Order: sequence, then structure tokens, then C-alpha cells
Amino acid sequence: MKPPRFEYAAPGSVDEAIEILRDAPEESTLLAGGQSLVPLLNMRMAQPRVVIDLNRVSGLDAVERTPDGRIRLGAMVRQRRLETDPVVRDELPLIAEAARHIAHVPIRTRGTVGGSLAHADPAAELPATVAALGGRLLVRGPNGDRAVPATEFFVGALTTAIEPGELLTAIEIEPPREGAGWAFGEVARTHGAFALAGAAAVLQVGDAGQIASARLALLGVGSAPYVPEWLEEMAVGEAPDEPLFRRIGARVVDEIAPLDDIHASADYRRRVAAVLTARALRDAANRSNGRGSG
Amino acid sequence: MPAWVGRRMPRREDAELLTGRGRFIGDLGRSGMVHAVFLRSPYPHARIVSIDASRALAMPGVRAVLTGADLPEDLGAQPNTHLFGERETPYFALARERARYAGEPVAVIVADSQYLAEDARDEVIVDWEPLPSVGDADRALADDAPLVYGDRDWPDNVAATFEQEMGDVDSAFDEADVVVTERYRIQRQFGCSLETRGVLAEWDENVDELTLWTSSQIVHIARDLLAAVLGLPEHRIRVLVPRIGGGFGAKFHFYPEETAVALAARATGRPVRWVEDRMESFLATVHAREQRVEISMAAREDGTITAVKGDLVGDMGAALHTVGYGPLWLTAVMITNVYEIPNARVRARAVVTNKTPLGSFRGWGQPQANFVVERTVDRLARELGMDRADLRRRNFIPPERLPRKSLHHTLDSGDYPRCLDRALELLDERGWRERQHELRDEGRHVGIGISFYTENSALGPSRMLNQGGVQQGGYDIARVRVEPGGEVTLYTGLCEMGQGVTNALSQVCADNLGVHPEKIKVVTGDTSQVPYTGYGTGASRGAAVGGAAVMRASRKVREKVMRIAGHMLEANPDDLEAEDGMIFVRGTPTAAVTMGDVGRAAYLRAIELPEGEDPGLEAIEAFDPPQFAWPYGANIAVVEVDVDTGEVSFLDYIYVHDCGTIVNPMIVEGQIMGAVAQGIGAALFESLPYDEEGQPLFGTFMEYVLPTAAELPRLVMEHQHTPSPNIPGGMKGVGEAGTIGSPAAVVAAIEDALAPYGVRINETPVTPSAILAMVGEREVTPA
Repeated sequence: MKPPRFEYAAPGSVDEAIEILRDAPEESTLLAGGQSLVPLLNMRMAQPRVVIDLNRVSGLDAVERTPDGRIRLGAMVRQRRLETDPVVRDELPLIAEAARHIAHVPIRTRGTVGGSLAHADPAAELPATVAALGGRLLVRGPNGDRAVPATEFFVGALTTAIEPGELLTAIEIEPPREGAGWAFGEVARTHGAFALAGAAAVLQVGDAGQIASARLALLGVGSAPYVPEWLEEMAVGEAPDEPLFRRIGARVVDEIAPLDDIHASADYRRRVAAVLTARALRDAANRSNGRGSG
Repeated sequence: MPAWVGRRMPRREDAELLTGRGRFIGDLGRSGMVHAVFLRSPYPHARIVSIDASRALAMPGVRAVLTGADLPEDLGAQPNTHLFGERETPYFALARERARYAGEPVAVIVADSQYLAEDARDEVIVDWEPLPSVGDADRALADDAPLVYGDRDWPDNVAATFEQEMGDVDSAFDEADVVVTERYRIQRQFGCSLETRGVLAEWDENVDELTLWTSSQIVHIARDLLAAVLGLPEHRIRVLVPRIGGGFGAKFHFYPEETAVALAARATGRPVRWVEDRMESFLATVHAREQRVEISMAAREDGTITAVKGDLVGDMGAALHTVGYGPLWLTAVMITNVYEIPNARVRARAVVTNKTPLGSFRGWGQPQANFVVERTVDRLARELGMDRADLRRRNFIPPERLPRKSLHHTLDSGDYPRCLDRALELLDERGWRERQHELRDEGRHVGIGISFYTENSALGPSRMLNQGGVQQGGYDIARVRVEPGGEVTLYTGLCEMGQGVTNALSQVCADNLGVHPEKIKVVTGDTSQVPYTGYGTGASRGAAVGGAAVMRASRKVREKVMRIAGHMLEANPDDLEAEDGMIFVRGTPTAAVTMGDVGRAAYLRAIELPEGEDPGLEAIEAFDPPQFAWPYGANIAVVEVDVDTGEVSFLDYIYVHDCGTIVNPMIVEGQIMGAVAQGIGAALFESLPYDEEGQPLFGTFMEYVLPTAAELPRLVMEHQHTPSPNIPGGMKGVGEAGTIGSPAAVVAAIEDALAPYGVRINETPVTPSAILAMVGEREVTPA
């Protein structure tokens, strides 16, 4: 388990990294936390000509508020920081909660936000969570910056909207409105293992006790995070009760097409997707505006 | 009076290991050392038409590429030391002409670095002709199955059939009030260590001698088998074992890589090291456990079990490895467990398939036997409408009738009812039976599972082993030496693999010699220094057989110490005592000499020795047990099942057991916790699935799921103490015990939790997906 020979570049800035990428966009790979890439290299499943190490690139590891009120997470922010950073914990508690489910502390200490999103493993926590929050991903290439909504970013398993020659620099997320509830839940064979299925939800209960807004994303049930676009139409104005959440879960089951693997059948994933959907919506509703005990 | 045996003492190696200073094969280097990697068969079964290594050999830094065609003509096949009457399944250091499982070593590539060796491996071109293959024992038994050894004219895929019977089984079944029959499937699992295997070989060409460092539990057996394969006298090979990061039986085997790396070192004239990488470890290290078992039990209405019969099929993989089909045999003969069942019959068929060979893993065949027996006893209880514990109690061999022969073995001693009763007492003290009802009323699915095991430990009487076909002894030999300064060196053939045996042996030596354990250095893992051990470090022999040998050698030395000290003190040796390195006249502690005084007399100042006393102060003694020792215990698991997700969590776990005299409770408890973790791994997580053709469906830890601390219960553990009548000191083994009863208890608990659904779980691992499939197929029956 040793990688084949490759060229190594360690740029100091994003623009320098893009310069290097320009030379061989199809044969280069970006190294962030290395938690997926290094095993792939060691297994010789990835055999890039050039590995561009982003760990010395400055300016990619900030957590900051943008002037328009979004939270901006640099691509090289370590996953562990999502659990501990006060801004993330206050403004995006759903992300802080989801991060706890990513592998184990040593892995999160190396693994980065951008690495996980750009790798786009269908069972990963961050893509679905960012999708549930309606975040957008900032990508820079030779032609400058562009912002891609999460729902368009994840194209398929291990496939994103990043074009050859581009790199992901940050994500921006608008914090849910004051009083919105949130929840994250997943089922995995063991603590820290890839999820068999999972759900992230953000839900607001209005003053009159009806659902004012709701967003949901599931992981592990398809090639990319599943975001039910019909959710608002089905949920807004309704009472946040178990029958509704179960109906939503049932509809999710109709829409997804999970696969069998050695850990769980497709049927299992469908059933659990319904359960996790209902639980996430219920827990989010309970957290909304101090309702219930949460 | 025993001062050290029984005492809680931290292991002396802990600081070294926990701070990362232990030296394993991967830490060893030799001047001029080069690196080996293996090219392995990607096919479950294929003929090697040709291998072209010319491009690899032309690469800079590549030293050699050896293939099956390069092996010496007279190289022996990899030996099996457990000959129970089976067809031969010869396999070599590197596959010759054909590979019979995916992962079989086909070529070894040696280069100046592991990177270069892996680069060169990618350039070795093998022309394969894939052959029909079979990845499942049931399919292998079908009439039209592809033959794994068709080239050796086998008519089928059955390597051996073993049968044993006692009593009159057929009549007992005819006369039974109740008969239950169940079929079980137990998956492949393996002894997955933190440290993978590794070998470092160096030849001294001047004298044609080989030094081999290997991560092995069988230091002398490895040497002897290597000598046999290479055709060298044993004393031309020195085998050394550095720190081992877990063995679990997988390192009890003698592997093709040990031979191949030795040959590569000879071919290159360089020290050659190979460290198994994690991915190849899943295919290259022996697998274990896989069986399907049909078992029938006959009973009277009052719950007396009158007969049991079992039909076992072991999926042995592509060859019978170092221990043959030993584990399958052990499953078969343990079919009566701890019960007084007068009539029993087993048939076990060792079936070959195109999969990694099966071998040893903590528990050998006993977890399988325990699972099928204990689960069937539960079934019988349900059939009879009896309480599960009552049914067990009714059929236990009562204490007064021990020792008692079962199907094959003679169980030695103990009080099974007392052990089970204490476990049930703990269950009630902790309120679980009541709370189970309350929680069920709340709609939660909480279950309690019970199992009872015994363990075949302290293997074993050498004659019995030889009679059975084992080409090894069952004794252990220890050498104890008091050095001139009074410190003690203890030499043992047992290997320290993280189980702490050197600490236990020190404690035994300390008591029997009269020194502090810290004054004792234990030397292991070097055939040029340590005495021969009959069987190696396995079969839960360390404390019992090794301990007894140490006890004998220590006492022999102590006798001489007393003679010398008596002479120095002008006292009768019978009036002396030794403690903490002081030898003194009983009742007069001021009349004393130190162990150092005696040591100096023995080596340096013969003038102080009694007339006629030989110089030197050491003894070597063997111990060959007259019988096995049989520890036993109860497992009670309390679990909760989430019927919406199929997740299982532990609410409690009670473990009450008896392993005779306990040398160091901390070590015993650690052994049990670790083994229960592996039993829980068997019940819920670990599996090595193949497709129908024998193509592995696993390759990394993403597929092979090991439980982590987060999944495991905190054990509530209690020890009982019935000294073994067969072992001086009364120790019984304990190393494997935790793996044996835990799968049955955990699965029983899940089944109990799912009682409203009436499910029957006869297959492991019980995954969330499997649970939902079972729950979903049935309607909830009103409680």
C-alpha cells in the first residue's frame, strides 16, 4: 500500500494552485486533509501525475461572517473545528451536530470541509447537511469565481460541478432564521463508520403553530444527497405532527433509489430513510421556537 | 503462602507499548535490508499459463522476482501438523501452476524500497487461464460443483469426514417426547490484529544459516516447519519473535510468506523484510469460523435432554492450513457442551472451496459449538414451555459427577449451577427482568439472552494429541536461572503477544522461588535461547501449562537455593523460607542471606557451597498436563433493539466465570473483555463474504466491520474459583473463554427483544438490515 510515483506541488496561494492546475487539469489531484485521497493513492486506485497540496495555501481556513449575513467556511477548515468553533455552534448548530458523526476525532482533525464536499461521497455527512441548509459552494478557476448552489453541486457519486482546472475555495451558508429548529440523524454499522443512511432537517414552526418553512436532505440513499423539493409545498401550513412526518417519510421512500451493498439492502435503506426523515423533522420541530423539550 | 499469584499487577510492558516504543517486525531493520511484496492471484481459481517478470526485473532497484517456477525442486509443501485423516491439499510458498483462491501468493518481488517493489509488481505480467470455481460450501457439495482439487483426481470437494458417537442416539430420538431441529449458519471472521503479520529473513552464507524474525505465536514450530520445508537441520535456523501486536490464533499458523521471504533472502543475498499490508491481510491471513450446522436435540417432557446429533459442514477454503480441520473437529466434539447428555452423534465434513484457507481464531471451533447448542437449548425451552435457565440447570453435569467424560473430552471440575445462579442473581440485583417488562410496556424492545460455556484449555496431554493425529506435543518447558547478583531470568517458549503471559509467569515464579516479580526478567521468542514448547502459544495454555512448568522449574531452583543458604546459615534447609529475595530461618528473620549471596556462591565463590554441590543455579523442567483444564462461565446480555432502524445497543452484560486459580485478575479481566468484544463482533459485525465463485466482497475495514469501544458494553464481571485438579497451582486457561459464549447470549437477547415478532435468528452476524428484514416479514403479535 504505497502510492506510485507522482509530482508534488505545494502552492502558497489559491491563484498559484490554479496556475499549477492549468498545466495538467486532468492529471492533477488536490490534496486537502488527505483522508480519502491518501488511501486511494496507497491503494493505487488514484494515480495522478501531480498532487497539489493545499495545506500551505493561505486564506482557506477562515470561519467568518460575510457582510450580507452568511457564514463562510474556508475549504481548508478542519472538520473538527465545526464542532468547536463558537460561530459555527451558534449560527449553524446543524453543521456542528453533523460533524460529530464524521468518522473519528483524529480523522476530523485532518479532514477538511472542502475535501469532504469536493470528494462527494454519497454517504458523507457534510454534503447532505450543506444541502439541507441551502448553502452554496464557491469555486475558483482560470476564469474567476462562481457560486454553485449545493443542490446543483453534487452531480453524482464522487462527482461534483467542479470543472477541471477549478478548485473549491469556500462554502457560504445563510443561518436559518431565528427560532428555526434543526436535527441530524444517521444509522451506521459502528460509531464513526460511513452511514447506511442519514437525514438532516431544518424546520420552523410559525407563531400559529403551523410549519412555516422546512428543508430536508438525506445521505446514503442515492448517488448524491437527496433534497425533496416538494417538501415546502407538502409541509408549510401544516401542523408539525407525527402523521405528517410519516407521510413525508413515505413520500421520500417513493422518490429515492438506494442500492444494495454488503452492509444493508436497498429495502433497508428505504425503510430507514423514512424513519430518519420522520425523526429528523420531529426533532427539528421540537427544537423550533423552544417547542417541546427537544 | 502465595503472595504474588492472585494479585492485581499492571503489566510491565504497558508503558513501552502505550508510548509507542514497542519494537515490532515493522520497526526492525538490518544493514542492507531490502523489501518484499507479494503478487497475489486475482482469481479464485486459475491456471498460471506463464509469468513474465522481465520488465519488472529491468526496473532500477529491483533485486529479484521469484515465482512458483523459481522454487527449489525439492521444496516441501507448507505442512499441516494436525493430521486427522484427510486428503492432502498441498500448497507451496508460491503457487505452482495454479492458484486456488483469490489472494494466494504467486510471486514475490524484492526491491530496495517497498515503493519500488510495488511499482515492479505492477509490471509483472501473468497470463491467467481462469478455471471454474466455487465460493460456498453448500455449492461445493452439489453434484455438479466445480472441483477445487480436480487436478488431483478428487471425486468431490470433501477433504475429510469425521464421525463420532456415544450411546444409542437413534433409540433416544425414537423415545423422545420432544425433538427440535435447527439449522445455523456461522460466518467467516478472522483474528484481525492491530499489527498485521511480518517476516524478516537473513541468511549467513558463510555457514548457511538462516535467521528469521516473524510475528508468530509458535516460535519453535515455525522453526521446525521451515526446516522441514527447506530441508535444513533445525539448528541452522534461528527464529526470533519481537513484540507482537495481537495474535488471536491467526499467528499460530506457519505461512507461505515465511518460506518465500526466507527464499528471497537467499536469492538476493540480502536481509529481506515483508510486512503484510492491511488490504492483503484480509486475504492472506487465515480466516476462521465458517460453518453451517444442523443440530437436533431430543428431550423428555420434564426437560431432560436425552440426545443430540449434529451434522456440520466446515467451509475450509482452498487448503487445510497448519491446523488442518482442527477447529471443525473441536466444534463437533463439543456438541454436548456442559450437559449430561448420554447419547450424541456428530458428523463433520471439511469441504474445500476457492477461498482463503480457514484456520485458528481465538476459541477455535468452540464459539460455533456453543452457539448451535445454546441456541438450540433456548429453542427446546420454548418448545417445552420451560424457563431457559431452569432447562440448563436441569441438564448441567452436577458438580459431584465431575470429572465426567462427554463425547470426547473429560470435563474436570467446577460447579456450573452455582455459576449460572450467581449470574442470574446479578441480573435480578440489577433489576433487569422487572425492567424488561416495564420497558416493554413502554413499547421498547428489550431482551435478555443467556448462555453457558466451557472452554477446552491447557492443551494438552501430548500422548492424547499424538493419538489424535497432532504432530506436536502438548507440554511446555521452562528454564529458571538465578544470576550471580540474585536476579532471575526466566526462559519460556511461549510468546508474548499482548496477552501478558510474561507477567503471569513472573508472578508464578516469584511465589515459587521467593523473589519479587520485578527481579524476574522473562526471555521469549528466540529459539536459540528459550526451551522448546510443545504446542506454541495458543489453546489457552500459557498460565496453566506454562505456569505449571515455571512452577516446577522455580521449585527445583529453590531447593538448591535452600541447600546453599542452609549451608551459609548453618541451618537445616527445611527450616528456611524465601521471600522477596531474602532467605531466612523461619521465625528468625535476622538470620538471613540474600538471593545475591546465594547466586555469588553458586557462580563465583564455590568455596561457600556445600560439599558436593555443583556450581550454577538454574533448572529446566517440563510439564505435560494429564488432562485438559475446563474453565466455564455464564454470559447474560441485555440489549435493546430499535425496531425502526434495526440497531442493537447493550443495556448490560453480566459475565460470571470460573477459571480456577487466577494469577493476575487484571490480565484475566482484560482477556475476557477483549474476547467478549470479538464474540460481539461475531454476533453483530464481522463478516468476510464471498460471491458464488469465490470472489471476495471485502477488502478493507470499510467492509470488515470491527466493533469499537462505543459499541461495547461495560462488563459486570465476577470470578469464582475451582482450582483445576489437573494443573499444579490449579490454573485453568482463560484466553479464549470470552469468545465462546458471547455470540449465543447476544443473539438470544436480540431474539428475546424481538419476541413480539416471533423471530428466530439462526445466522450471524445479525445486522440492522437483517433485523428489519425479519421484523418486517411478520406482524406484531399482541403481547
